[in-house]
Amino acid sequence: MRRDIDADTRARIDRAVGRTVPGWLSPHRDDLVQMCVVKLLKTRSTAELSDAFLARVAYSVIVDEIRRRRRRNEVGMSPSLPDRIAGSNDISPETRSHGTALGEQLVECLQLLVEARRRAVVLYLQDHTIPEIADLLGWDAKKASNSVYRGLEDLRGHLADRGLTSADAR
Amino acid sequence: MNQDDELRYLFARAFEGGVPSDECPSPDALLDAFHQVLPEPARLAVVDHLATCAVCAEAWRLARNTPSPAPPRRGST
Repeated sequence: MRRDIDADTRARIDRAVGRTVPGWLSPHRDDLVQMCVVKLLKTRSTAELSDAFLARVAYSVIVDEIRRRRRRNEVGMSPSLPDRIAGSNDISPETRSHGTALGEQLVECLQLLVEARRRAVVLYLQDHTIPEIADLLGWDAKKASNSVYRGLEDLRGHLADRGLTSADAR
Repeated sequence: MNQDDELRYLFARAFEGGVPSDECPSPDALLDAFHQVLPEPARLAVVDHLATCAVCAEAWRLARNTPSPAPPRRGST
């Protein structure tokens, strides 16, 4: 079934893209909107073009584009972070300049955690709250809290084993 | 900013060196896991993947800005 994408729908796609697109990719917002339109024109789905559906299409297009650019190892791609972290003056120039390498070491250390603690810590590092972590993992809040606490302790231990402490990272 | 935020910062920065793989879940699966629409076993598999893939971890962070498609399925299996 071929769809018609009218001006109102295009405007709603634009808003959906604008809500999700990371800052470094936002100069290509018009291209992303066009990719969404093409995706909608190609789809055989008869789903209603609700805002929720358009948000899903926009998210899918943006993630695919990020993956494509990461495969090409493009520069200038920065992660999405809460403002309190991204704009913090507490991060030293050294940590900022070595952040990618340190981050990759952190990811390696995560693999050393036992499964339950690793799951809890990963979600915590993604800025989820304890109740959110409990919901996502199907646990009660006490188990989530304990797993985060012990998992962070383990993670810091593994980082210290590599000579990487919080002080070193600053 | 506390020390946990410093770990969050470094975890996110791994994105800049990350490369997606054939094992990456689809964007739909990421979104459904984030919003707890995906059944628990598949949702846990996505969470496990986030621990290894900084690109998908970034996609997960972007999912915060998308509306939930349906009420969360608490305790779904």
